[in-house]
Amino acid sequence: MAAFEKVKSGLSGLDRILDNIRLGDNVVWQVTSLDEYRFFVEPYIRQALEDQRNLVYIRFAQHAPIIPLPEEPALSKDCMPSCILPDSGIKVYRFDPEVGFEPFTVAIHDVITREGRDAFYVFDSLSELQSAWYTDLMMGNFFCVTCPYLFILDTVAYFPLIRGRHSFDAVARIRETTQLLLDVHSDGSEIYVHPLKVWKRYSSTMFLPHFCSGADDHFEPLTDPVAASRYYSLIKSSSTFNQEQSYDSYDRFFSKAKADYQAGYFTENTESMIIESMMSRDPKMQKLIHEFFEVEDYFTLRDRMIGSGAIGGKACGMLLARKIVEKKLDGYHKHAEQHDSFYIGSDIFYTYIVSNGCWNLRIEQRTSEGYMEKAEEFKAGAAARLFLARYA
Amino acid sequence: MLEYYGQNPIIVRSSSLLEDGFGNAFAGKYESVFCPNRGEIEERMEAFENAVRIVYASTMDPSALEYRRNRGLDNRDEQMAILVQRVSGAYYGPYFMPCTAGVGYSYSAYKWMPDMDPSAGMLRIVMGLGTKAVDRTENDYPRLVNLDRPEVTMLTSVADKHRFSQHKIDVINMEKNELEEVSLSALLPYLPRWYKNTVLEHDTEAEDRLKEAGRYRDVYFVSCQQLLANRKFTSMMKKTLHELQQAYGNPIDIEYTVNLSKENDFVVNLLQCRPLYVGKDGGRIQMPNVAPEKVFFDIRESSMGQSCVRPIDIVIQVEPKEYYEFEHVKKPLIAEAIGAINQYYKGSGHHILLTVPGRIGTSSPELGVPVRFVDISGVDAICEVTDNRAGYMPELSYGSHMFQDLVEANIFYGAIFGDRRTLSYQRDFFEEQPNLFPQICPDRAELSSIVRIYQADGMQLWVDGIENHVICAMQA
Repeated sequence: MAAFEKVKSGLSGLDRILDNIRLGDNVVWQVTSLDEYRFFVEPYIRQALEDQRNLVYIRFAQHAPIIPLPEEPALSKDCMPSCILPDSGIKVYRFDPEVGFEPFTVAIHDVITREGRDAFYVFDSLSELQSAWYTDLMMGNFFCVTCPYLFILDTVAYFPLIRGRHSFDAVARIRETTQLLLDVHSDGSEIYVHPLKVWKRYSSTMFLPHFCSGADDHFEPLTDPVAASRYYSLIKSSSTFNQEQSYDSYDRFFSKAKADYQAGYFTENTESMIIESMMSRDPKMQKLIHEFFEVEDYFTLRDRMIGSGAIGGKACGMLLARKIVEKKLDGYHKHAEQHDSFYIGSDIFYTYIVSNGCWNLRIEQRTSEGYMEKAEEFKAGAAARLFLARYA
Repeated sequence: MLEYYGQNPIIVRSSSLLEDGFGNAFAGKYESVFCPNRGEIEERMEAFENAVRIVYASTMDPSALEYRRNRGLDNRDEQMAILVQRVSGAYYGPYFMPCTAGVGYSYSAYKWMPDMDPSAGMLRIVMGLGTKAVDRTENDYPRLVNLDRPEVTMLTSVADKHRFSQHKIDVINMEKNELEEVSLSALLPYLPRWYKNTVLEHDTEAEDRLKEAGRYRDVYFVSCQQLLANRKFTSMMKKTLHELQQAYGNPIDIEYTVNLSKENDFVVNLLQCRPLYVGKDGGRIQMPNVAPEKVFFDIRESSMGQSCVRPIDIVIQVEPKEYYEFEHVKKPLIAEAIGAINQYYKGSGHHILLTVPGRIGTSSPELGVPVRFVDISGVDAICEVTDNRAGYMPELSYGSHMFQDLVEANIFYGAIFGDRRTLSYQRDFFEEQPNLFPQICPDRAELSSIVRIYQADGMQLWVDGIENHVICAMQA
């Protein structure tokens, strides 16, 4: 099949609004709840099966499956499907984002390679990646490297994104990368679709909100003032514009932790999350940090960090050692020189690679054949490009 | 951030997520870059960005990749964070540096006097930036300090103390805006008297000789002797190492700087700490009883490594005299050849002993073979050999990256000195045997008299780490 060929979404009304989904499209659904996403996924699957497409479900989240599964399948290994659904033949691949950004993203990249051209994908919620990796930034990085690869292979892929959870910056990067970005609202009886971006298609009403009465798949632009007013009061209540979204989720997490602490409330769980995300994943180190660090120390550290992610082993070792000696050695402070270090978080490293278009090189480098040769090329790339200005 | 540091020099250091965890030191695998931080904010920004880029790019350095692959970490998430530290120190004329700096170990597997307590820990200390204590470069020997007996050195004569001392000092040249290595004599005019008294000593023998020739001149060398005589300082370092080892439940190493004042006061800055990887083998082993003619070497007080018995079946010898006479500019070819041999044997299951003249991994080919760790990563044991014909001198360089790598990879290290510590050494042990080198490296035939590879079936290495006694011999 040819790139940009028209594809049916399973909802003829939607096809009309968008002048059809095309091969190569990544479709991001910005929703309040995943039920809204399911409303569009179900007809899409039905249609894809009817058209005998190669349908693939990428399962990685904790939320209930988007495509009903008899049971939670095992994690995918060596690029093999976790299971194939008996009636429909849909292939399900399950991954765990907890393994970290790079192995996760590479595993999905490999599946996309394996499934090849013209595959039809359904993904779990992108928002869960933010929970697993703590930052909107890394969620955005995942999308920015995965989406162009799907595009090259002329696939169609559906992704949900929970509205109001992510920084404006992350949403802007997703918008820039994807072909379609559709805003969805519902109020129980009615469902509204508002196309925010439709790549290379245009009609005079395309970018108006549309509503669907639910019973049939008929969509109509909101030109009637009464209906429009109902719609705008609905989106007002679902707080599309939240001042907090000016910041990355990680910053929001931290300022909340700080506010809580000042109000005399700081849980073990928050402390573990801070240590895990910012300091060390080594259980032995975590235990030592728990033992020697005061709560204020985390906030002081965070204040001297540029970007999110972890500060790495060397920085962590230095801070911990200083704490230990300070607590254990009498009179140490008399002979101790203070330090005033800064830390650049590890997320910046990947963002640097992704923003400079070096990700494909990085992936090639990870194959055994490319391990050494591509490293040279990657190194040249990493050394040649500029990026940091906005952070430091 | 740059505005905060103003015009203070800073150092941009790698701080990767795999680095410095328990069991993975990645010593020196990733870069650290100094930024003198002079000039307009735009220039400083540019220099800083370059530094970050260099550190990021170092994730792809062959020796880091090799290391990760060897440890099965090549498919792990290797994210790089960055630590930006102010360089601690003061101005001396146009130069900026800390008074002294170095690395410390909470436990030394090496003691150079039988009655020393290795658990007191040890320091490797230098004048100026600590890079001189960490990197193994040039003709410089940092002062080694056993904290049980901090003032004692392994060198007895003043001449030796001078010869095996630090001759060059790493500093930041604030006028040129770059890291520089300067000789002690170039630095002397800028040093206040109290500083000289604390870190330098007079070479009285050389001064006397000059006096006889009618010239009155001070001859200094670096030893940090007065600082090491300061009990407050040494006991604080000893306690620091001890408490850290206690808390980690594991031997550790640290990097530090020390700054001094006129009033003999001092401040220590702890820059880094990580758990040191220690081998699993331990305890005593039974030394063999073999006929003298079957012994390749038998050394005491000059090795490093946990007690063990290991088989050896391949011996690679770099012939000292041939190496010495080989054209200087071509000497790096020998390092490349060793790298090629390492690749050749990789994964073959062979147990390899490598003997080299002088100091392994130095950057000066006249002092030893300038291999990188990736060139020797597959060997089981390394011996540095003294050769008086060519003036090679082994150096057990605690704290060098090579040392760290050897410990990490559990590679045995020994030094075959030309003195009482070597009970026996048969340099020509394998002379009757065919040299496999031309066969393994056919395209480097011209090196076959320098690098020799022998099959050594039945050879074994006995290491008694407690008595510090090592025998390498054919089994009876």
